[in-house]
Amino acid sequence: MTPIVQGKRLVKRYGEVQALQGIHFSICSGECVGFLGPNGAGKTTLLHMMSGIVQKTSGDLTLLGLDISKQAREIKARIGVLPQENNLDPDFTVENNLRAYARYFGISGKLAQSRVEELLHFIQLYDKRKAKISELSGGMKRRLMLIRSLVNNPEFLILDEPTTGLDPQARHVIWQKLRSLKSSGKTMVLTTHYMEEAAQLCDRLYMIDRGKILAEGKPQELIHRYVGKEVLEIRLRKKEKDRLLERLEGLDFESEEIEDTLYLFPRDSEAVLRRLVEFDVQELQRRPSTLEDLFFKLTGRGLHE
Amino acid sequence: MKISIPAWRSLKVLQRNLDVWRAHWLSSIIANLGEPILYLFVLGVGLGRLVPEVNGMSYLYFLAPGIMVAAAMNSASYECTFGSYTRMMTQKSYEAILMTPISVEEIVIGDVLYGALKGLFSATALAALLVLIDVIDLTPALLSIPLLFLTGFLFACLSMIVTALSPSYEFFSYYFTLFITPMFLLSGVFFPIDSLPPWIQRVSLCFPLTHSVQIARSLIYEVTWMPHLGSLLWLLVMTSFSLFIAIRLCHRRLIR
Ligand SMILES: Nc1ncnc2c1ncn2[C@@H]1O[C@H](COP(=O)(O)OP(=O)(O)OP(=O)(O)O)[C@@H](O)[C@H]1O
Ligand SMILES: [Mg+2]
Repeated sequence: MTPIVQGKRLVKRYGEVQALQGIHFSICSGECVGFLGPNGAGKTTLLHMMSGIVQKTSGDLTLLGLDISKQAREIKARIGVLPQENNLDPDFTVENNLRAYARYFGISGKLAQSRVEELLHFIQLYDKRKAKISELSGGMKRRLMLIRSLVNNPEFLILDEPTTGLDPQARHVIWQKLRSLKSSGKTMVLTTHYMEEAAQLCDRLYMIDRGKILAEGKPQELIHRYVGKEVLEIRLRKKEKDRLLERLEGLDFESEEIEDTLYLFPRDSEAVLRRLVEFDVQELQRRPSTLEDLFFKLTGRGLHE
Repeated sequence: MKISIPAWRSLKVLQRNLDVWRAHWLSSIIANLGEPILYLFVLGVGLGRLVPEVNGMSYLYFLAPGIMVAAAMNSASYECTFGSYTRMMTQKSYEAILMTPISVEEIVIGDVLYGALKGLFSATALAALLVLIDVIDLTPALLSIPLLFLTGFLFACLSMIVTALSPSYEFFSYYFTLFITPMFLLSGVFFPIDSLPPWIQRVSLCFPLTHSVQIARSLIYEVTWMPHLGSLLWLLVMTSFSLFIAIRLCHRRLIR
């Protein structure tokens, strides 16, 4: 399939800061692609570049077959953007926010009215249509932001942390709506700090840190490639650790020690467990590996900023 | 950066602002008219008793044209500093609009048009009052409408430049105390500039408001634009230049 969004060698410098250092990526029609990475990785910068409000320092970026540096207006007419921070118009009611936004896209009159009503029903905010923005909860504002990005019926949707700061209920409503958009054929890119969000929504992931792409692939594939199938989490006393690792000599596994916890990423968990039987471990947990393990594996556990 | 004819897309930005304004236009009139009315009557009537005549006319009549253009200046300046800064930085409304097919230049033009209209509105309301109480005549008041709009537009553009450079709201107090207020006092609104020392007169001639005041005087007293074509040209050049600079600076601030 030919990609509908494609970035090549994308570089962004803010003065001294290298926010993006040569990013390659592509998104195909109907795909939901996620960018995962710690704070300051460059996710928002990349999404802003796609939305045309950050200029690239160098590289090529095309959306819907058009060049962002030459045809930004045509592109913006056909995409929808949900920015990381809400920027609803506090002077307007819920429905007037949508109407004003529709007008910027040249949608007005009956068409705008029916579109606005349809979207309010879709996100379950119809009863709040006359409310002021200051009267909405965080979850309602985010839902309103989401449908605002849909007023022009975009072919491509850019979602920067769609659910950050929301309670589980609100988050699940948004996931459900995004899944239904996806099944209706919308192409999307999103960033998130919730691994479950990525697992639930994304067909493909790019792991990104310090402006570079570290890995790319389907979620399960990535986990298996970098982490393995299972993780053993062992809590034990410091001096026991060396003895334990000695005991496991000869088995094929990787390990990582953080504070009081030892993480083992074995090829064969059974073999490891058999040798640990007679060992006095305080706590042992055997679980399938997750995106979170992948995340830590690729980006480390220390703070990045 | 390419500047295309902004036309109808800027009007959508203007319309957004007008929609907001519609909700509280009454309080906005009172806020905008309070100050010029105060100047007119405290100075015109109060001081007018002590100053029987300026250039052979009553002080209130002398004051009227200058206060009208100054009202356009003040109202447009407030809108495109505090108002535009709020839209640009605090509410991030510009950023939201930039994610639609509307460009930076269209947003800036829409916003300065709004500032100019607010200036025009304040000044026209004041002119209407002056006509009602028989200080000035209706015909010259109507003829001065384009000038009031132009003055508002010019100061909206200048203010937009300041807004694009401003790190915070505090910055605007420099603009008002170091630029707008001295200009208000020294451009011939309250007394003829030829009564100033020559070097201050030269400074005064650089102020855009001085030229607006001169044109307003000949419009109101002689019902003609003619004597000050030079001033008009100067205002037009200054307006185009400051609009261009405002767009450049807003572009730099908004598209990182
Ligand atoms: N306008 C700016 N001026 C200067 N530096 C910036 C600007 N915007 C972002 N940066 C820097 O660029 C880097 C990438 O920031 P970006 O916002 O893209 O990260 P992010 O991955 O979205 O982070 P988060 O998860 O916290 O949202 C950071 O080091 C940030 O400090
Ligand atoms: Mg971000």
